[in-house]
Amino acid sequence: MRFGVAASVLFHACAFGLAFVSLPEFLRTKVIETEVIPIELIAEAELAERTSVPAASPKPKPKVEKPPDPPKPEKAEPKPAPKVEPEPEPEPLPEPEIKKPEPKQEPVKPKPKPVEKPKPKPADLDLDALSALIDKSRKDPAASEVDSETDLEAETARSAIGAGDRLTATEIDKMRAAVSRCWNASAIIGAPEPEKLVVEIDLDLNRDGSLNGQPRVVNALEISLSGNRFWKVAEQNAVRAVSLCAPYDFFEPARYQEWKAFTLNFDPSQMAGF
Amino acid sequence: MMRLAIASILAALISVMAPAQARVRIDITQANVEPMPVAVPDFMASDNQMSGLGRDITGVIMADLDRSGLFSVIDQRAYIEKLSSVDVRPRFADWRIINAQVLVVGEVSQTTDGRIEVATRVWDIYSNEQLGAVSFKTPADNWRRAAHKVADFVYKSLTGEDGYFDTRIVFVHETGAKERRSKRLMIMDQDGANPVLLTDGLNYQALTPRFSPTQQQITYMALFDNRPGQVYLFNIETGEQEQLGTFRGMTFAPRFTPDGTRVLMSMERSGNSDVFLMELATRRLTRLTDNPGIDTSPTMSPDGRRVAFTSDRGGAQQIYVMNADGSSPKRITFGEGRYQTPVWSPRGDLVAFTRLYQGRFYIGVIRPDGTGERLLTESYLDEGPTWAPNGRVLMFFREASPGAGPSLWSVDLTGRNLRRVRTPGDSSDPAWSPPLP
Repeated sequence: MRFGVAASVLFHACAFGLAFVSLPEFLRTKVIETEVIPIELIAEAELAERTSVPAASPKPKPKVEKPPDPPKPEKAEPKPAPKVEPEPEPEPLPEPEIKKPEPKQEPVKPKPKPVEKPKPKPADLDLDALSALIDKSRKDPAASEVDSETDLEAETARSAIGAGDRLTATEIDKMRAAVSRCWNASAIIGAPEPEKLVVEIDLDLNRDGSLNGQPRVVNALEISLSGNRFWKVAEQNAVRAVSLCAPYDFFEPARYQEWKAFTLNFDPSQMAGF
Repeated sequence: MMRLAIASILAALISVMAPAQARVRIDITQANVEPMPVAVPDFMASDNQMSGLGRDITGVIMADLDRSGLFSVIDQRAYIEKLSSVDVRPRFADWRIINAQVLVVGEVSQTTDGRIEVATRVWDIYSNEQLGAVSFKTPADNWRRAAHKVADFVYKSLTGEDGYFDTRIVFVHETGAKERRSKRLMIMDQDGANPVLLTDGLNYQALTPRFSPTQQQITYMALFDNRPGQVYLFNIETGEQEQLGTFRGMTFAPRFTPDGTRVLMSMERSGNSDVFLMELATRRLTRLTDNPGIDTSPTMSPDGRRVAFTSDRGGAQQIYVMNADGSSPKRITFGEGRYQTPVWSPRGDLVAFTRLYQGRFYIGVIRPDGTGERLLTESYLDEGPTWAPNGRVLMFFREASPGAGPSLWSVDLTGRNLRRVRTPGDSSDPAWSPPLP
């Protein structure tokens, strides 16, 4: 009996002792060790270099450059518009085109330099450089179409690696500011429920920043079916803004693939409160 | 075959979707609200006499567009292309160079019956498209109205909203010293042309004129020296007028209902004012409010279902909205100061009002549910708002400082384009007419 009591007392004493030592450990807030992730400040210049990397590879350009001549046929598209005889507009259009191709040829100059570099590099550089050489050895001028296609493919393949929004915030801001400046909304904001008069427009650009074809209103069907005459006016205003602002010549030609096509969403909702 | 069709549809879908993914999407949420540059060359004409008329008509159109605040008319001296006919497609490039966004071209000619025909085309300079074309025939001496009609057409083509240039304004023309002020009704075109006195003001003062929304008819309050003021009905075309009922108490603050068949008004009985509705055909009177507070300035919504009015039943004067039968009154303004003179917009989306706060007067607008209050103007005394028939512009009268004579002003619904309206002498209490027939 005495042994039983003593054993019990001893057992309880041990249990209390253990609790006394270990409980505080349970109650203490655990400190989670976090990994320290270093943050590196990227200099503006360096950032600019990085963002322009994909398009910077000069080799594709020389090839694409000569294709730029093909774009002329693209621009020739606007010529059909000129068909309307009385309008001399077509003439002014072609002129800027002719002028701009020249500036494009200037960039060609930097390219020859890269072309020189590839020569020493052949060992390092592989397919692109080789294919460039091979292509040239085969058919220089005539192969331009094929070249441009393969180059574009290569370019898209490269750019696809880091896809997402490839325009920089600054470039997007420039575009937004330009269009906002040309978008006259004085008639819309006094209309009833102006926040509903959203217009979405697809536009394609040529390398010189001019419009490639007429802007297309994405929700044109919805607008005409609505029978809302204010919406129709909003549509006209948005199309006018896009045409009025052209050419969008503030983009870097080397990054044409990134800015050749836009969808602009004209949304007056934030101006509804006047 | 079916599979082939499905496959080709899928291929087409994919090809459509692929470029869509490559597009950079940008939300454009800010715009400029500068007036749109419009070119209006002198309307062409067949002979010298008509060319003078063409210039006059052009001048009226330009002034209308400019006054709206939505358009700025480009100086004619900058125009490059000399147009030879209204039916020739303009050289858009010539108009783009001078930054015109819209071109208004017109021609005046004499018809075989001695009238004039004014033909107009509106061109969008940037889409190279015609936005619309219209032609009016009218007697030559009615050329101003033809010009206003053309301006209305241009306005509607560019805003989607009906124009308000072919309208008139009736207002109180004030003359004489402060202590012996004569107040007579005057009517003029909305641009200040053709002012005509309607009442002689010999033995009464004319106050608070209100236009019928459907006819060339006015209701107003006549204030006499020796008896209580009464509400009158005035036919502009015939000059005839009649008193709306005979009451012991004063009747005041009349306003037509949107269908023009009834008049809302306040009536004072035993020191208390309530809102009543009178059928014009039968002169039957219906009481809409029965409250010890002062209920006044009733105005009906365009759909005829609700009535807004001013009441001090809660202490200070505030605006209330009730059903057209007088049931379920609800207060919609809760700001500090006093709210008065509610006027329901012809568009139905807003109620204009006057607010008095800390010794200053404001013209503002609020939604009928009490949300979205916005103050548009402020001065020593701004009062008596009236809507343009398209619900886009407000006119009111202002006394800029103590003792300054009242004058008419207009302001856009957005609070922009505040302008003084040209009138002969001191003017107050404007009322905008519906579009002329």
